[in-house]
Amino acid sequence: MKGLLKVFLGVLTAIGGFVDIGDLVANAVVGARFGLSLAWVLVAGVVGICLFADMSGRVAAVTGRGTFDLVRERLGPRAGLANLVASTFVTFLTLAAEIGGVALAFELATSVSYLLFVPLVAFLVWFVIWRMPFEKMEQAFGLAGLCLLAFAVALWQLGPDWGELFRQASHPSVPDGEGHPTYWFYAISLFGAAMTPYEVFFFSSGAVEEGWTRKDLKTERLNVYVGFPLGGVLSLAIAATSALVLLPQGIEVDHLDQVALPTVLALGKIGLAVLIVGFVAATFGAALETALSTGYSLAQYLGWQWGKRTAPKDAARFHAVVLVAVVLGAMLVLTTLDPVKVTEYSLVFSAIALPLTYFPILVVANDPEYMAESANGRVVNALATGYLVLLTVVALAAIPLMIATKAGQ
Amino acid sequence: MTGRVRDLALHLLDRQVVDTEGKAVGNVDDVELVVPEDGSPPYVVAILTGPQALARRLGGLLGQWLGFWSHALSRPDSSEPGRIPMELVTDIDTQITVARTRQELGVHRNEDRARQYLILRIPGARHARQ
Amino acid sequence: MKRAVAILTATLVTGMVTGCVSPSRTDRDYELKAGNTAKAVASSVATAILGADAAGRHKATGPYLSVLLGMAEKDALAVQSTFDSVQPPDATADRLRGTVDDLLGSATTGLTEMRIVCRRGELDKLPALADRLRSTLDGLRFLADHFQ
Repeated sequence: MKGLLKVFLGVLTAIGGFVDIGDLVANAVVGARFGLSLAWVLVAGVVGICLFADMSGRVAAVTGRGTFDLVRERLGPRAGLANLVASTFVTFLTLAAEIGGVALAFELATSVSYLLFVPLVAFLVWFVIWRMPFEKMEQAFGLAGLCLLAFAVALWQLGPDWGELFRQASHPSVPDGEGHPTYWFYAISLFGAAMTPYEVFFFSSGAVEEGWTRKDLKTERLNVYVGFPLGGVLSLAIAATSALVLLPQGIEVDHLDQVALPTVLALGKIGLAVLIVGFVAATFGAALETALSTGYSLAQYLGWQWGKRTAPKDAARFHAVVLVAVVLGAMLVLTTLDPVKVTEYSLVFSAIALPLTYFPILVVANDPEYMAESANGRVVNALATGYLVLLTVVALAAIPLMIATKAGQ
Repeated sequence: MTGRVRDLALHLLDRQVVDTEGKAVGNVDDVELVVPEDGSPPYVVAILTGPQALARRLGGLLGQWLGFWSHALSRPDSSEPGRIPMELVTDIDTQITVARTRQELGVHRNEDRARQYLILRIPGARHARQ
Repeated sequence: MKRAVAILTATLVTGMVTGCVSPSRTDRDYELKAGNTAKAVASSVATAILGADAAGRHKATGPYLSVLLGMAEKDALAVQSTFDSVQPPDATADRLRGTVDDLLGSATTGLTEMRIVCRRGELDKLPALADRLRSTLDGLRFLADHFQ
């Protein structure tokens, strides 16, 4: 049991990457429009994030340093700054969206307008970061986030033709009535969401917060190989339930309530209650992840003291940045900007940050001065190099595709 | 001069500086070099840290912009970058260790300001939660 | 009555598709807009019908349905007002506009009724209201399929 509790850094990181508010809706949109024909992207995304999160976690455990620290050191101040600006912007927009997302989940439970919950949610996010010990935080939100497994139970309850689902997933094709550009826009969105940079910032910095050393490499690997595949399974379950229930009805998913609809039909009120707990936990967890990541990346680029393991007074600028980010995020949501749309557009900035984040990790994970005998093996390097090429292609294609398809409309 | 030979760009610049307690002091944003008149190799006399030092390294419009703001926002007596003489450096590894605490070095005035004006005013700022 | 409207719509639409499709670019644009409008509103109506289905089987809570129906209504009204602001290029388009408008009208009225009933807590009345929307949904889907 104690061993199991150690995997929640990975679980929380993955939940923030795969099933935050934007992706909860995006997975359902994709399922309702493309069935499971984009499932291969999720698989590719899970493999990619496992590969690089494992490297960043290994570097953190061996050297005690977070990912952005390495970004600055390996890319120099200028390219490092380009990455900092792009990734902080994505992370901040996501933070704003997640604050709105928690509020939307509360709205589903109470039918009180989500805007009224935004200030409360923002306060709670900040308060948890200010007061709650790191490990308690990741366990509480990681564990409650598992309520999203209700999607998987609902899928099973819906009694699909598993062979047909598998055929859709293994023989991807663009469905009738959908253009190729739209298909590829969603492919890139899902891939970018799976590999979004704040996951490695959070995971590596969390490893440092927990004081992992070379002795914890097994725990590190367990976190990676339990957490991220779980995130992928949840995404897939969401897409599959909406492919089964919403696709035949021609429903275009725009809101969180529609994401829950198949599960409600399959599991009833209890399913709905469990799902709402899962929504709150996942979006709250993602808010914590993005708020902390904003602080981590800025502090590491500038060499400030950071993290929750010291008293806030000893990491004053870090805590000031987190506080300011949460307040600004709440203000952005209060302008009634749709939290779900916000995350769709942050993709553009994510695209720029992707190669600039993962390249330095790969370099340092190969550096014997840092890693000694824990450096990368050949297979990992070959795979990672392939992914870097892929990430660069994605980065170049993202913006033209977004313009051509009007963000997938 | 301690006579350590290192690749400046690879082993010193942009690395993390930590104090005797293992707390972060800042990054090596720039260095102060001395070029001896007798033609022997130049050597580093001090590590420079803080936004003013970073602004000079960034160069260009971006550097000017950062320099302008960090100068405008700092007190008149503190517009120079934080300077840590090489005599205080005890170890150059994946991070740079110095033989003083952060307070003794006095190179992070912005940290002090954030603490004084914001963080210490919030209840619970003095306690670490482990 | 609603069924009659749907059948009428179907005949009318088929007539236009086979008989008098205008080659003019603006006309085609208008048809595409009509098709997309019908598709979007059909999505909201279908969502509400599924929600009513859940309500009828006591599977969903009042607050949840209230959000679901409120969103469906809001989306449909927004699509309707966007479509109404588009200028039909000629008389053929005028006829199409009339057909689409009738369907949008009965869709938004139906969704509004469902939302009102739901917020009064009378969830058991939802399935009956949803049934009355089915013919509208058929009409909308028909339009969406023919003008894509």
